[in-house]
Amino acid sequence: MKQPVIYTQNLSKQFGSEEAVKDVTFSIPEGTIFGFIGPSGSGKTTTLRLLTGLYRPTEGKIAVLNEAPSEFSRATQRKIGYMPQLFVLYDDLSVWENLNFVASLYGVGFGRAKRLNELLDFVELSSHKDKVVRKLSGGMKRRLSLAATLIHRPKLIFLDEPTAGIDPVLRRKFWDHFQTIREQGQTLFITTQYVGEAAYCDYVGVLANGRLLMVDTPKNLRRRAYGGDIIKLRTADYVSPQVVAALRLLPFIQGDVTRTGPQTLRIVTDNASTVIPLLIDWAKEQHLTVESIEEDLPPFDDVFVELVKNGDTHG
Amino acid sequence: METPMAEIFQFFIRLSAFLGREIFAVLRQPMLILTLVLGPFLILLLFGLGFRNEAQPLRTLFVIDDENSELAQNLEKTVSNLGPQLIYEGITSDKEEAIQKLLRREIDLIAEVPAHADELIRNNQPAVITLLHYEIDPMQKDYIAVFGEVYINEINRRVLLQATQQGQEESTAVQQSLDATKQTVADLNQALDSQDQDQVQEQQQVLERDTDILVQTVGASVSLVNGLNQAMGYSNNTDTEAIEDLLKDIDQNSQPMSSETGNTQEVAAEKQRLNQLEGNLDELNSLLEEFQTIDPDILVRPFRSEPKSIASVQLRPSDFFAPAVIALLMQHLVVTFAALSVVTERRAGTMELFRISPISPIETLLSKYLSYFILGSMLTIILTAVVVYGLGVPMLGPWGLYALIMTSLIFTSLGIGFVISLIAQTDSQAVQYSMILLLTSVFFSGAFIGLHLLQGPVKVVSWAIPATYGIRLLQDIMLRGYLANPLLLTSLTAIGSLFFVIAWVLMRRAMAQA
Repeated sequence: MKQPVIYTQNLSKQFGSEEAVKDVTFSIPEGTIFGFIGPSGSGKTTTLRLLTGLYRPTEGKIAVLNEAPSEFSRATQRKIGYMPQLFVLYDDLSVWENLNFVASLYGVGFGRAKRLNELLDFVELSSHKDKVVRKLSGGMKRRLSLAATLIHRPKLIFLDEPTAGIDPVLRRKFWDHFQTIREQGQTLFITTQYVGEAAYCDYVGVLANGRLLMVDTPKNLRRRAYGGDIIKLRTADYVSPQVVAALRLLPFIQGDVTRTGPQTLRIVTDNASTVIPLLIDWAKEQHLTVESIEEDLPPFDDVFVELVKNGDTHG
Repeated sequence: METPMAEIFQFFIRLSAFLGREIFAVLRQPMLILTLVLGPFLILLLFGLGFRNEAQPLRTLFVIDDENSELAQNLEKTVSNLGPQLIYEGITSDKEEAIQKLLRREIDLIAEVPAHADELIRNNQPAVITLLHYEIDPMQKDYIAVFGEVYINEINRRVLLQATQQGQEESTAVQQSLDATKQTVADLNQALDSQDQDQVQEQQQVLERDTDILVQTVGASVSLVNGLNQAMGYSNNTDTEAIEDLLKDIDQNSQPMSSETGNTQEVAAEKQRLNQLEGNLDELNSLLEEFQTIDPDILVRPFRSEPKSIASVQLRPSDFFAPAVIALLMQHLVVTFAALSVVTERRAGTMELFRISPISPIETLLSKYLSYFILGSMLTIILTAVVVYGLGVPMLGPWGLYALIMTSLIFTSLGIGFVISLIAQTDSQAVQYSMILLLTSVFFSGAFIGLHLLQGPVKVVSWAIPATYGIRLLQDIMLRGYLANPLLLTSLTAIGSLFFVIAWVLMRRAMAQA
C-alpha cells in the first residue's frame, strides 16, 4: 500500500444523542480512488465533513495529508479540493466568472485563463463558458462544480455524491474524468449511494448505519460477500444431488455448492481462474457435458446487500 | 512552502474573489442598477416638486352670539383679511351647525368669540377666543396653537392700530385749539397795545379758557403715546416729556398777572409773558406735527422680525432634505446588500467552500467589505451627481470631505449589514431586519422629525443609527460648506469599527468547525 493521504482511527461523530459516525478506522493510499459507499443517511457525508474539517470529531483521530483537519495550514488547504453534494456556486454569474471566483478563493494567479480553458475542455463546457449558470442544465452544473474543484490542482479531492441524480451516460463520463484525474497522481475520496460505482474505485469503504463495514478492493468485496469467487456451471445433462455431494468433497472446492436448477450449479471457490479448468476435467470424468462455465460477477448492489446482511465488520 | 511575497500576493488574490463576484452579479442586472439609481433620483425629484414650504391655510368660521351686533360687524372687518393662512369662512351664531361643518371637514377651525367681549375688556378681563378643531395629527395640533397665537396677535394689533389712528385724528382738534389760542394771544397783544382795559381782561379770560382746553386735548394724546411707549419698553420719552413740559409752561404762562394792567411796567411784563406763551405754542405746534406724522402702524408695532440667513446661497426646502435622502438611501441600500450576502451563501452552502478553501474569515469579510464598498461608492457617485448636477442641490464644502463622510457612512452601514447577515437565519429575516432599521432611521435619524423633538433616552436610539450622523454631516458639508462638529465623523467611524469587529467575530464563528 502506498503512503496514506487520509488516516482515521476510531472516528466518531455525535449530534446530540444521535451517533452519525461510529468508530470508523481506515486509511487511503495516495493516487487512488476511494469510494465511500452506503445508503442514504449511513454517515458518508458526515465522514467527508469530518475529513475536510467542516465538522469536529467527537472522538477519534484524523490525519489528512499528515495534518489534523482542525489545524489545516493554508498550504494543506490549497492541496485539497471539495465538491459539495449540491451546487453551491452562483446562479447569477457565468460559468467563466464562477471559475474565476473559485480560483481567487484558492489564490490561483491572475494568469489563470489557460487553466480555466483546460478545465472547461475537460468537463466539456467550453462552448458554454459565457452562459449564466441559471441557464445551465443540472448535469452542466455538476460538471462546472467538478471543474471548480480541480481549478487549483489539488492533491486530494473530496467529492460528495458527484453522480447523484444524473443520467447514466453522464455518470459514466464523470467516472472517466475521475479515472483521468487519478492517473495524474491525484487522490479522490468519493461518496456515492450508487453501489455499482464501486467497480470504478480502487478501494471501497462500505458504510451502514454510521459503521464502516469494510474497506477493500472491489474484487475482494465480492469475494468477501460470497466467501470467494463464484463460478456458474451449466451442463447438458441432469445434475443429481449425489453428483453435487461428490463435488463438495473435491479438494479445490472450499466454498458453497448450490444447485440452482436441474442442470445448473453455483460454486464458490478461492480462485475462479484456477478452479474452472479443474471443474471442466471433473465434469468429463462424471460424463457431464459442460454447456457453459464462467466466473459470475454479481452486481455490486447484490454484493452490498450480501455484505450488509453478513454484517461483516472486519476492515 | 510559499515565500512571504507569494503569500502577500495570494492574500490580494483571495481578497479580489468577492470583488468580481459582487460587481458582475450587480452589473448583470441592469434593471436593478436602474432602480437603485433612478429610484432615489425620482423620489427626490418628486419630493422637490411636491413639497410646499408654507403653513397650511385653515378654513376658519367665527362663531359669535349675535351675528348682527356691532361687535360682529367690527370683527368681520378685522378678520376677513387677516392673512393668507386664515381663510375666512364667515360669521355665524349657530355653534352646533359650525361643529357639524367641522366634523364634515368643510372647515378646519371654529373661532368662538365670547359674548360681550367689549364688556369683559372694560372689566379688565381678557376676551378669550376659543379655537375648536378636530385634528388628530399632533404636529397639526401644535400648528393650530401657534396659528391661534399669531392671528390673535394680529387682531390685537389691528385693534390698537384703530385706537392710535383715532388718537391721531383727534390731534386735528388740538390743532384747532392751538390755532385759537394763538389767535387769542395775538388779540390780547393788540388789546394791551391799545390799552383797552376791558378788552385786555376779556382776552385774558379767553386765553385762560383756550389754554385749559389745549392742555387737556394735547394731554390726552400725549398720555396715549406715553402708554404705548411704556408698554413697548421705550426708555426714551424725550418727545412726549418735552410736550408735557411745554404744557406746564403754557398753563403757567396763561395765568393773568393781575386783574388790572395799567402801568407801563405791567404791560411790558404781560407782553413778555405773552411772547413766551407764543413761543411755547409754536414749539408745541411743531411737536404735534411731528407726532401726527408718525405712522400708527409703527406706533403699535414698533418691532418687526425679518429673518436673514448668513448662508452664501439661498436654499430651497428640497435642498435641505437632499442630504438626508442621500444618507438614508445609501444606508438602506448598503445594509440590504450586505445583509443578504452571507445569509444567502450560508443557506446555499457556498460558505462550505470558503471554510474548506484557504480564505480566512478576515479575508472573507475584507473581501466582502471591499466589493460592497466599491458598489456603494459607485452608487454614491451616480446619486450625488444626479442630486448636485441634476437637481441643483448646492455642494458648498470640499468634495474630499464629502467623500470621507460617505466612506464612513458606507463602512458603518456595511458593518451593520454583515452583522444582520450573520445573525439572520433566512433571507426574509435579513430583509426584515433591514426594513426595521430603515423604519427606525426614518423616525429617529432626524431626517424628517427634528432630534430636538425626541426625549433624551430615546436619542440613544438615534445616535446608534449611522444615518443620524450621515444626515448631519452631509447637511453641514453640502449646505454650510464646513463640518460644524467633526466629532460626528469620528463617532460614525468608531461605530463602524465596532460593527466590523462584531462582524469579524460572527464570521469566525460561522466559518469555524461545527
